[in-house]
Amino acid sequence: MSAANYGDFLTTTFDNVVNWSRKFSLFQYPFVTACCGMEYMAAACSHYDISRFGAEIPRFSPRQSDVLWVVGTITHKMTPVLRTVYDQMADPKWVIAFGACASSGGFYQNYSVLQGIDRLIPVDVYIAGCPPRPEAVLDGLLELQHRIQNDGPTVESKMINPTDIRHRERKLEQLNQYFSIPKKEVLENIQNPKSNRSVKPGYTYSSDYVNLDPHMGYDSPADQAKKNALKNEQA
Amino acid sequence: MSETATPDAEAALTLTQLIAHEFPGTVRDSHNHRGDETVIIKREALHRVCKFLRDDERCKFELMVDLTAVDYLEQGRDPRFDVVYHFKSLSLGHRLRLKVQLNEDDLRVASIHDLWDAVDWYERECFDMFGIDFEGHPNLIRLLMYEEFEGHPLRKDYPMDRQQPIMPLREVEERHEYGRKF
Repeated sequence: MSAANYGDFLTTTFDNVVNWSRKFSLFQYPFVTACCGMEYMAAACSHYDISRFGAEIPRFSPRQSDVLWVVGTITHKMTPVLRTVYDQMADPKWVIAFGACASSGGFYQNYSVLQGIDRLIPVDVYIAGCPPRPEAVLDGLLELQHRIQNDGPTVESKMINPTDIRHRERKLEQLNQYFSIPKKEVLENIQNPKSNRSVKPGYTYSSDYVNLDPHMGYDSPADQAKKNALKNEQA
Repeated sequence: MSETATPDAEAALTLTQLIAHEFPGTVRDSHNHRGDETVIIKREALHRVCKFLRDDERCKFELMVDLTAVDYLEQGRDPRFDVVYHFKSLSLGHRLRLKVQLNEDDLRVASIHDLWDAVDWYERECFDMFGIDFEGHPNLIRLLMYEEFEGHPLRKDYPMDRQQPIMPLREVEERHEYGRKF
């Protein structure tokens, strides 16, 4: 915080104050999937006490949190979940890749594991280690605070939140995704399933019940009619 | 089996001898290392043998412990796959391992889902990982991998570095090279 102390006065800029308050009130969302979670717990509890650095409470709702800790291995099957959690977080938001698996896939160099979460969502700080010691975790948090203070939003940039600065294109793509319903690919996939399973008459597959509206969770009557029409065509 | 079993001697038969006696011509090979009995049988006889193992008084295999498969591609064996069954008898306290050898171009074996319900997910996992078709299984779909996944990842010829993402991935700089160097 660049402030000069003239006797009884403290002068600073608005950006500095905002970023300073942001970096010391980080609400965390721990996305814990593997053994790194134990080290996260060790860093969060009283021996190392992560709340000394303003990262006080883990919030188990992404809508209330500022920092997404991706703690552990992320498989391809889990990527839609992680992406949804990230999309649900309100701006400004930051992501920390905790440990080797989240940073690069770690030693899981195989068919099922995502080789680093930066292939899915933008990452601010990578913490090395398998798993990292609590000291490394705190070091990563301090690094993030440093970046929030120095690379945070400014009045000159006219971008209110740092997430916009980093991936404006992805926000547009995300908006497009929400308004393109029903998806053409989904409909095509129902007609020509790409899966390589052995198709046998009389069997039911979960792809026969693909939800046309992925954001609703249930079908509207119009969608149900469409789906039934498609099924009748197939039969 | 060389000697013919008389009714008196039947109680002393090992499980291997019992199967060979009850189903002549089905046992391809067997070995017994310190009571760890393994019988390799013909594929066609699998369901009959399993039903016998479950129901017979001398076997009483109530528990279906495990089912898995082995790919012998790198050993260059001609029947490429083994399907391995493990059974345990809770009342008599003995175990048995059954193996069925499958050729690469004809990966079919009878499902024993109607004998042990526990085999349901094992057979689905085996289908998922090796592509082995268990005929008669009521719901043979992938267990662990997602629907869009192509191929069977535990086969030895599945490329080790092949990734099949379900979400569109971002462009990132490659920080290291994948795959083994031969």
